[in-house]
Amino acid sequence: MNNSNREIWRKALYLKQPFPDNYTDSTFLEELITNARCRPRHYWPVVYEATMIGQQVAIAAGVSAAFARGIEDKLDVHVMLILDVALLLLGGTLQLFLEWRGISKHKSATDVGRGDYVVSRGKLVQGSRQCVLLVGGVYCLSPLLQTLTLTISSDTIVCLVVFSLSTHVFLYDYSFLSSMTSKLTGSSSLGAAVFASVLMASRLPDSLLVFALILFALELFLLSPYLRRDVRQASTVAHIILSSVTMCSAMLLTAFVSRLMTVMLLSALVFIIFICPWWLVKIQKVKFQINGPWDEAKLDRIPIKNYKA
Amino acid sequence: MIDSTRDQQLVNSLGRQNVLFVSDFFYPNCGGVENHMYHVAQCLLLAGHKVVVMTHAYGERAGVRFMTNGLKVYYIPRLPFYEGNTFPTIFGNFRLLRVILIREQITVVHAHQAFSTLSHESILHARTMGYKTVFTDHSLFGFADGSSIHTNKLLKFTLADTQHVICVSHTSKANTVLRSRIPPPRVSVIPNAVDTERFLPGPESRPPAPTINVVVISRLVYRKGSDLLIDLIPMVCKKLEHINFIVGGDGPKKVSLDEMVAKHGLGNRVEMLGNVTHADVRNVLVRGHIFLNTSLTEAFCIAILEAASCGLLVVSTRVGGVPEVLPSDMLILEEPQAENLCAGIERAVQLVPTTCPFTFHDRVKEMYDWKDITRRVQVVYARAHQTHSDELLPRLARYYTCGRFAGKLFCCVAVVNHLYWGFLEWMFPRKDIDLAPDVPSPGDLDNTPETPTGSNSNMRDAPDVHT
Repeated sequence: MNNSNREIWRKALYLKQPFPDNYTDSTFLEELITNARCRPRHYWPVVYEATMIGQQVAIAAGVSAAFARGIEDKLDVHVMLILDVALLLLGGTLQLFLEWRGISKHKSATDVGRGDYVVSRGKLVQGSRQCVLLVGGVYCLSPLLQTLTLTISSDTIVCLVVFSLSTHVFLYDYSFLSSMTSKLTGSSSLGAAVFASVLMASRLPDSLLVFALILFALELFLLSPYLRRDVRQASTVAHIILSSVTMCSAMLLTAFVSRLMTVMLLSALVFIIFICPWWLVKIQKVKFQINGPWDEAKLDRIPIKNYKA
Repeated sequence: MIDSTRDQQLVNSLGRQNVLFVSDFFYPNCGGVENHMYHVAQCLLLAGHKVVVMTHAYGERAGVRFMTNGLKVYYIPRLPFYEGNTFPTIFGNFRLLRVILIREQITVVHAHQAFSTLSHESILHARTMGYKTVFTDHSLFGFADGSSIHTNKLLKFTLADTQHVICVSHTSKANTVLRSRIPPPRVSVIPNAVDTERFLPGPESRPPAPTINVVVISRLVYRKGSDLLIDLIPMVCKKLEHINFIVGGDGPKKVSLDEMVAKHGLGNRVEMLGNVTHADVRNVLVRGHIFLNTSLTEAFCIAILEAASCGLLVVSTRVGGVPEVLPSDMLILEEPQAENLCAGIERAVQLVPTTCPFTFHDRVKEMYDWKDITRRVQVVYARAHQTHSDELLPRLARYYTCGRFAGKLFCCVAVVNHLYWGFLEWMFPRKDIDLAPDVPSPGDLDNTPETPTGSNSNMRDAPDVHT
């Protein structure tokens, strides 16, 4: 035995070595690397990212509060319509402004010429056309939507709404909001939001109110992500202001319906924005990532999403 | 070679074993695992042991079949449901397995491949009945993605109560030990081998002097590095004039490869063969000077061994267990990037005139031999027989340490299985199960020229897996 121990073990299969097959050398697991690609997370950046989720929760809560108020018949249709138009105009203008600012920022002064205005004008025309189609479509459909679920009990509706709004928040494409991807995906999430809006609308007393509220919901669920993304990209301060405004208005809306709901929304937001990041940073310490020669080699040329063989 | 004498003693003390090989993967499937099982089984038969294989039915191929040298194969009536695996039912195969174990008077259950659900279930059942179990792991796994996490947990459960584990390379051993947290001395490294007689060099098939052929034979999938190949081939063709490529194999990436050939106008320099049967591999290999392997992950890589046996110089990516397979003068290793592999091929081209295919063949023959591998497997069986405590309580203790929740779950499964075993013993008593007559193994035939009784009627034409 002494004799054989003096020989050095080599990590090779082609050699006949004087060691038993289950011999474990002192170099065993030397090539193991732990936590090589782990970025340490810090509290405030994570809080900043978490505001995106906060925004989405606030929007879901705000829209359902508006509908609840409408179902109670305590909502003035005209106020709601004015709010819709104001939101649409405000959002549209802000978006155009950000776009114009983005273009002039990226190109040097000499490059800013007619071409850019053409791009903007094209977008404007396209946006207005889509807007007209959306508004017209919703207006024509609203009498139908109003009576859609007459034969279904309200309990079922409430249950489905809660379920689909939770689905919406859970499956939402947050990487789009954080500008990690350039296209808004997550159709099931968007579908769930629209489904919830339609269900709630079918309990409203007046078809014009259905129109106003559905438009409100669509503006927030479908159009606002683009604006929120651009705002976030443009400036940190603007993002924080927009988030606060969104969350405060949502709480204000819920306050009209029920105090309890406001308290619950507030605690949910605090939990998501302040407690969860703390939690994540804390459990980072137990993160244990192992790499070694058995790992599949990664090719630089292929985007991560195409990894499947 | 002090330990080898100790190993020899272990083998000598072993006595005749009745081994049951279990895996979802077996002939008529073709691949590394199937090949390995078949060759080890043949060599064990030659060494005088009895080998029975259990796998699931492959289409028409169901029931009991006999293969070369009386290798008995049970194709049990289970349908494959995902990637050639049977549906995991935990208890569903116990009744059948128990009958086979008793009928064939099995002494060791040897399961193959961590992907195979049949292997995992069989080890659980065999352990419930107190049989010694051995497990061979043929592949590498990651730790980060969902499927790996679940497979690793399952492996932990299975290996916690397996007497000995065999891995095909040292890298694979490290991987398995990390995945299943079993003590490293319970894992033996026993590589694959190659049937060198079937991979003889044939330099006369090579093209005349200045031209050098680079052969690639692999499934054309992402994990085998087909994307690397797509970048590499135009690069090499542009840089080196006399290099031609022969690409054998099929797969989802074939379209991209064809596209690359058309785009760069390399139709006369790249020959796409499509699917190459295992019997034709040698005929393709001998046409080349250099073998290229672009795998991104590989536990052992038997392809480079076959190529080296045919006298080809091998250029490969430095992944997994590949660096352990051949010495550095037969194998040029590069990082898995097209630029590096291109440089590797350039180096290989310079080395080709100095290499002799027949020396390569003889060296591989010296290094890898199924008989030697089988001797080492027998040592593992002997070690498995040296272990104790097959009763339920010590087994439960081992399962319990597998995890806070999983440990308790595993214990429940083991206990339920134990009760089920009791039920089976009552419902289908042992005494009612006929014992299978032995087919004399080829090792026996020389000494005792006795004709087998009874089993001849079951014999069918045995297709040879050598194809």
